[in-house]
Amino acid sequence: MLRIHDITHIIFQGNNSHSYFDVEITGKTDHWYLNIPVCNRNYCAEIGIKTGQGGFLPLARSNPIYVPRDCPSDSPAQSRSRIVLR
Amino acid sequence: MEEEGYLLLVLHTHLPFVKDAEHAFTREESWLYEAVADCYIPLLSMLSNLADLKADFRIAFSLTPCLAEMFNDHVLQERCLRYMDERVELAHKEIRTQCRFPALLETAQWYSRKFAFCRRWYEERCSRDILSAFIRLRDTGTVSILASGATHAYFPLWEIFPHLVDFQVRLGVHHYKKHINRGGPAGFWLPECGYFTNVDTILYENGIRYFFLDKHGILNAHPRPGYGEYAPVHCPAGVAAFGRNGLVHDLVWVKDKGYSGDPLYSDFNSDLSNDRNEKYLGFFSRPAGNIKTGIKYGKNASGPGNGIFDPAAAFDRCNEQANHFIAACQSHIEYLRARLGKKPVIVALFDTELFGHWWMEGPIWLELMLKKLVFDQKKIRLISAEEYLANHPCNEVSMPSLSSWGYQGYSETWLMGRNHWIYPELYQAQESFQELLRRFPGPSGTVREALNQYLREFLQAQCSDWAFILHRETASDFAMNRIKTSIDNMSSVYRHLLHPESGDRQWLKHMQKKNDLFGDMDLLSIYEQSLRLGKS
Repeated sequence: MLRIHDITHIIFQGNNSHSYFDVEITGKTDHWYLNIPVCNRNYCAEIGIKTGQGGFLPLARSNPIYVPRDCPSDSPAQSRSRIVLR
Repeated sequence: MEEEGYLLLVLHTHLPFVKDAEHAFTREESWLYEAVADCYIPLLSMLSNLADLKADFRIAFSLTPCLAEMFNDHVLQERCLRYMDERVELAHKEIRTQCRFPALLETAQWYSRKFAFCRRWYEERCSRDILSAFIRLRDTGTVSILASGATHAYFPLWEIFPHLVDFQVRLGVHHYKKHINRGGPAGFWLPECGYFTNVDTILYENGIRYFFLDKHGILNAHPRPGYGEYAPVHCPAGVAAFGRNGLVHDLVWVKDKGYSGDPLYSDFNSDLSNDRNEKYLGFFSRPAGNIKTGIKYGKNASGPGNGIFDPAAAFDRCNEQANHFIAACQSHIEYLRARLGKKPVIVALFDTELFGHWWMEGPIWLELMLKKLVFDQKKIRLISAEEYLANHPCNEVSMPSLSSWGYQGYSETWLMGRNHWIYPELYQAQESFQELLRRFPGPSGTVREALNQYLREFLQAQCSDWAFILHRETASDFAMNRIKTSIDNMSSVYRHLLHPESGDRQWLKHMQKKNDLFGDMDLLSIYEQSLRLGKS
């Protein structure tokens, strides 16, 4: 099973994600494309085994990824800076 | 009258390293010859003429190091000249063949003149040295040259190894300093416009001060920029990001609607190599797929007339389209100037190969458009990114959004069903390389040479073109073979270094002969600088 965690702005320790969702995969699967529900968030995935009482035993964890926003930001730019070319 | 806005033109100039040391004139190697003959020489000769006229134009070219390496390769220069000779010869043969068909004869004569000019220019005007021809134009102040990633890796898919992104950038900058300008580049072309948060820091550390993104990289930046893609933003690291304008791009290059698809223009798919037999084609006939001849009699759509490409009618159309383009940019700029309260900059980014290869008449259109912009109007000023930033050094601070100029704007061209296998293999090859560095601290002699070859193979495999080709299924066998060969060679280096007693002592020489990309550079020393930066 794959468990995809929303780990935006947190130091993920295995059980403190904002939310997660599961994807059932079979033993021989070596890749999976996911639809990510919310953009502008950070995610990571764990691969593991579903245990008897609805539990989940993670075996390995992925690197985090960031899903970019799909629309302009709500907050307008307010500061300016100067770039000097050599 | 002062200008109301700016047009910033960038042509991205890149080909993967397709040299084949063992077999001359493969179909893939001819990508280079076709690009030199159909794009680079027509553009360089046209821009040199404009510079001689003292036309105050501006245009930027990115030049990738893997392409520049091919420009500088004497074997490839020799082969390129031979290709041009063969084209001149074939065009003469066509004139003899077509003398009974007046409708085709004029077009055949036109190709003959075009090929003869191109060959002369290559041999006599630029002494087979395309890179120096670009540099001479740069020295006139009209052309800027941007650096790019060493082998055009698509950065967002290398995010988990920031030191490898730095390596691509660092090597690109190093190459630029060595071959183009000792002072180093101010501008950088992100391969495929591929950006992720942190690329700006890597660019800054390497002395870069501006780069280009697709429009949504700027529109979705945070916080929200007030001028859309009509002004650059400054990334927090201190590098400016310019956003591509979709409108002008679509005018030129959208399937069936852009200028390049006009019914009067030559049909890309009507190349003579599809119509003549093996014996007639001679040099251009190849068992693995014919080399393109560059002669195309067909036009995009057979409207009135006989369906035969007529250069004179096509050039009239270029003229109309150049006028149309300028009028469209002018009205866009007028509209924006009033609403933004500042002079907008329209950023037009194209692949150089559009001009002359995909769109044979493209260089003519570009010449007419540049002349009209410079001599016939005042509303729009052509500007370089350097001049823009010198005149407008203060811009909004914002962090651009992950983006690319590929299909749908993100990474799915380079990461999909037919090419995703590449990444786990190369990520593993990277881990193995790190292991070799731990096993062989302070390497010298043959070990160092072997590690350099490992990096050479790794860089070669990182090129985004292979994934793109697998995605498009155009020359999949070739792309697959290039990556697999590099992966095999890396495994071979690994095995030989860990088990030096085994096998043939010539293995490294064979490998170096087959892949001599950046052959004169100590890649490892640059790689180690990237590693140190990652740790600091």
